[in-house]
Amino acid sequence: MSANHLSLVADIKNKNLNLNVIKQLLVFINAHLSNSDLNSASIHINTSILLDTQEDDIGFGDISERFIRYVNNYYVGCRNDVSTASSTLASTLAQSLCHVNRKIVQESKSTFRILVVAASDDVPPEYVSLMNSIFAAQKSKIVIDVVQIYNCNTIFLQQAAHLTGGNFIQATDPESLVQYLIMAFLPSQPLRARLVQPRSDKVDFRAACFCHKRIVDIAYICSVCLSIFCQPPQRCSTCNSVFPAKTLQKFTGSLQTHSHAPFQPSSLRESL
Amino acid sequence: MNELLVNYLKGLSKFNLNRLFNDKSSTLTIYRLLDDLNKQIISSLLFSSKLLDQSTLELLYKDADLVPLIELNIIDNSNGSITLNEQFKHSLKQILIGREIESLSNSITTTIEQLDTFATQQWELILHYMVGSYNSTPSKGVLFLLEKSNLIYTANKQHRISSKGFQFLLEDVQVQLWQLLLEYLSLSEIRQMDLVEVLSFLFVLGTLELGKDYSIESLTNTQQAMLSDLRDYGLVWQRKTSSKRFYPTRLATTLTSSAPPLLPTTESSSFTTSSDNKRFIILETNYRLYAYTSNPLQISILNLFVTLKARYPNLVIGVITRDSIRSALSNGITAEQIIGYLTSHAHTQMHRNNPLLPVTVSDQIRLWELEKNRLKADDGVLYAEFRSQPDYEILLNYAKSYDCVLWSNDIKRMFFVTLEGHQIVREFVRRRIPGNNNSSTSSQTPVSL
Repeated sequence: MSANHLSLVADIKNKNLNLNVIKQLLVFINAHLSNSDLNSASIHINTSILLDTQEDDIGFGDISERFIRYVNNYYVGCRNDVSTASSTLASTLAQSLCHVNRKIVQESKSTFRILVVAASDDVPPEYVSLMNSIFAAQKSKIVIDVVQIYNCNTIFLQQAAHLTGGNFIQATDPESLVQYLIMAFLPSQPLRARLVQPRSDKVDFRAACFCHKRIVDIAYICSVCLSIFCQPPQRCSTCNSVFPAKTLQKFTGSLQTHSHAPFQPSSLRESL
Repeated sequence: MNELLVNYLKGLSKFNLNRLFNDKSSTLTIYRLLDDLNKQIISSLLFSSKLLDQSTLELLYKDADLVPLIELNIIDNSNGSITLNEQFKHSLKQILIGREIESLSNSITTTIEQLDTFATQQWELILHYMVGSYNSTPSKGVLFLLEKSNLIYTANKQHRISSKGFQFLLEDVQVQLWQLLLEYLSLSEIRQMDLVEVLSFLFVLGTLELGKDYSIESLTNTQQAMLSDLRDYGLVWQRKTSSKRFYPTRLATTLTSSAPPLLPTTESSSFTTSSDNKRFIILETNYRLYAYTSNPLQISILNLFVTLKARYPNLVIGVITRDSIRSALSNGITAEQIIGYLTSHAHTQMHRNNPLLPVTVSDQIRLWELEKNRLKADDGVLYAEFRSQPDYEILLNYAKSYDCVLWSNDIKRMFFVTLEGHQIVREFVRRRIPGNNNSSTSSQTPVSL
């Protein structure tokens, strides 16, 4: 039996997590910790590390106290300030990865996984940083699990789970969230192979373009760095490659002839 | 991690198990002892209001094996559906929803180093005594326990290490501890101590914090009585025997953990934090053995099967000889145990070799053991004094067809069959040759190989 570290990543804004959900998340963390005395957990919310059971040396009871106090303070704090409601999910995930990466160096024997609690819609501007985090996780063999509560639209996180070999679960009934969590996310990676687990058979692989951050079905790809664009640009915004004028002309030509092309911004917006 | 403990728990009565489940630290410890799949099954049942039946279980969990859970009285599947033991469910739920396990008290008045030194001293005293290199003797209670668990035996009014004892020395500290503690548990019944109280105290010890002191007032009388025994094993430390407070040592706090009991100790200690320190033996094809250790305990263990030639500050040189191995064998230590010890303690330099130990040496050790076991005893029945050759042949062929003939001699008209074969052959004799009373001599004869 090897040690397993669980990082819980959540982004709270607009009171998207109520006390009931938080309580159930805490029970899940406790369940993870009680599975083995080698297990540890850390909680990352809104780009801050709330706690790490290994580094802080705190017991079961303290975890819930800290978590609830933090969320309370946050809600009280943002009551007056509506503008703070921007998404920090991508940066929180990136931060948790950094945290885990530091741990990997320290203790190579442990296994690591991240559970992302998705309680709000995707924010297309976060696409690039989110994807980078996903590839980083993939490379260091960190599994990203995603639980989606409420009916929000999170195709990026769905891809995150798919690419890192994690589970993606839509908890349709937040009241029984803990049961979803225990069934889908409690087992460690080797154990999951021995279970029959819910799998999402359909993964939405659409990407967001780099230029206008729109989610697109078909797009233009930079032949050098594979950046995605919804309209053919003069030069690549990522790697600065200049595209041949001829090709651009051809594309603009096809744009005009097929006005119903799916990459056209107007039609795209309607389809979404 | 700890099969010893699980098997012991399986042997407890349902009533006692239920009483254990009443205690939260015991529940958590038992839960952690289970394998991952069973943990998953239990946690999935914890908050579910739906009943789970056998067929759904098989759908959800491939190769689920509930037998250990049923044996531990955690799960009941007698009436078609699978239900958790109420008491167990309640305690585990309490743990998960964050009702803290009450800590007894805390104030730091002693250093962790002090506790470690004490624990190491006490524990090494026991081990040293077992290998016969001791300056002082452990307390009578410890000796009694060692003898009861067949780790040592008395020969010529002196205690000698047994085969089981040698095996014991090869184990991790944690396994050693539990082996002794389980023996202690079985003795506790004779001493009229309540089994559940003893066991749950041990589990509680595993959840206490190192370096803090705890009051004995919240302990039951039985548990208070245990303290003096536990002090002898180095599990707890008390300032004075009459002291009202006790300190768990590292041996105690890692009792139920799956981490190795980390005892960071001095040069001369046998407990090692890194595996490098454990690997100190270099064995050459010419039977010479170099052990980079200054630890008296390790040297004493080696002395059991190696003729030691020279000793330097950090190095011991010895030779494995026929005599040294034979003296170990006559103590009941087996060749496999010796080879296992050499393998697990082989120096990192040796790990470049494949196979790890020189084949000449390991084979020779096995051969020396075979030398000792030239005779093998089989229980069976000798058939003899047949009247005629055909009688003999019919019966022999019949017995051979059942593959139960161990030995036969055509000239003397005798053969020897196993005990199981005897039943069949005797039936055959009764059926086929009613008047023929060829005598079969029942005996227990060693057959030479």
